[in-house]
Amino acid sequence: MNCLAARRTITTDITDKSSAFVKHVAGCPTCKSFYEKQLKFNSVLKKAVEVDVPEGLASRILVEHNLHKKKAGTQKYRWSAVAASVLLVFAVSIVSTFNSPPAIAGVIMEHAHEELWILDDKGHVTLESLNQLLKPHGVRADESIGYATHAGNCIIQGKQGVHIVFAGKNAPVTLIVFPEALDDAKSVRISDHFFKGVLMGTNQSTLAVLSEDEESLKIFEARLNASLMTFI
Amino acid sequence: MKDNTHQAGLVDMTTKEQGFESMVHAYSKDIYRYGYWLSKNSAIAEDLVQETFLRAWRAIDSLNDAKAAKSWLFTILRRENARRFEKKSAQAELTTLDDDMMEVFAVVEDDFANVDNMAVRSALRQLPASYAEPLVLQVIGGYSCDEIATIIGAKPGAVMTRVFRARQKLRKLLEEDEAKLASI
Repeated sequence: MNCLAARRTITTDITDKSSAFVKHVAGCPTCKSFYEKQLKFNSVLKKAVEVDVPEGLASRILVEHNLHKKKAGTQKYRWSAVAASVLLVFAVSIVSTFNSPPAIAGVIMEHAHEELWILDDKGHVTLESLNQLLKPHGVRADESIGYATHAGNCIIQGKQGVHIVFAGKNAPVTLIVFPEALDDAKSVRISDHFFKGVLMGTNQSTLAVLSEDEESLKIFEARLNASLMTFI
Repeated sequence: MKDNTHQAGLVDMTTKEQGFESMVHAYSKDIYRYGYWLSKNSAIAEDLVQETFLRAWRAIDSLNDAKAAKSWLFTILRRENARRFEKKSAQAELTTLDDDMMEVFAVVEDDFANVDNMAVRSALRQLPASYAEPLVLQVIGGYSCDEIATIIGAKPGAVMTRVFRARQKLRKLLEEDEAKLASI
């Protein structure tokens, strides 16, 4: 190793323990001096970078973690409680509009409950990303669809769908795209003890809009109708 | 039989909980500091840390090697911070270090041993994020350029360049600062 290479290493990767580097620094007084000065500068830098950490940070993280777990547990329990009667609930809620509940409704509801934690996501998904996800399903949205906090592909009963969460007026609104069209219905109201929602059919997929809050759901439905431009 | 399964589940859960708690105690300070230097704001840094650990818990089953936990957490925090800006990692790659850039090392520079923390912090705040980030990772995490490249999703050569330029700029800012003080 020559001086230039040694100095490159000292400046960019001072922790390098390769024998060539160690040997060169030990045998070259100029590089050794440079190395020692750089080490000193590193310790100055380390002190400066180590800003004070807010008191009790670890405890607050653990409190938040426990609250989150409790919340998830409650939601799970809520879902477990309705699981036994879910068919009945679907039957009751859907029978007013249709003679038999579409099987897709159960599949989508189950998926939404499995991924309840997504509702807490505080990210932001751009319209471009949303449309990339929606494109394979023959759907396209414009900016009036609203602020998405989470979006991703997901596997629903072995098929690739899309799971998006939007910020709603009082509660988040979930949009699930399932790659299977509704049999003979264009729009079906569904609900269980947690979600209220609507299934809408396109030629190649089913869109499910779900929310805990009816007002948020209605506002989003209107936005969705105005925003979705292409139903192929 | 059912009880045993339940018991095993509880044991797993307890181990997982303990692992998570150890992780919080061991790494939250460094993760906060990384968040602080990314956001340059203590409140945002704390939010980023909270989000990072919430996500880490959800995905803890995917962490196969406990030794990789720290860099895994750095990566999660980095993504969380990127979400704040709605930007994807579309940072332009810098070229690798040229030998002529290294001419600067012909002279052994001052060691800045007497520079105070405030001056260094002020200089660090003035660095462009793409330079400061790998430098902070190197100083806080003790990572090599290869490891930093993995965390921030860049090429090792680009990381070397950024670290080099960060140090170079930092020195320049500190020299200017010293000159200002001397002229008073």
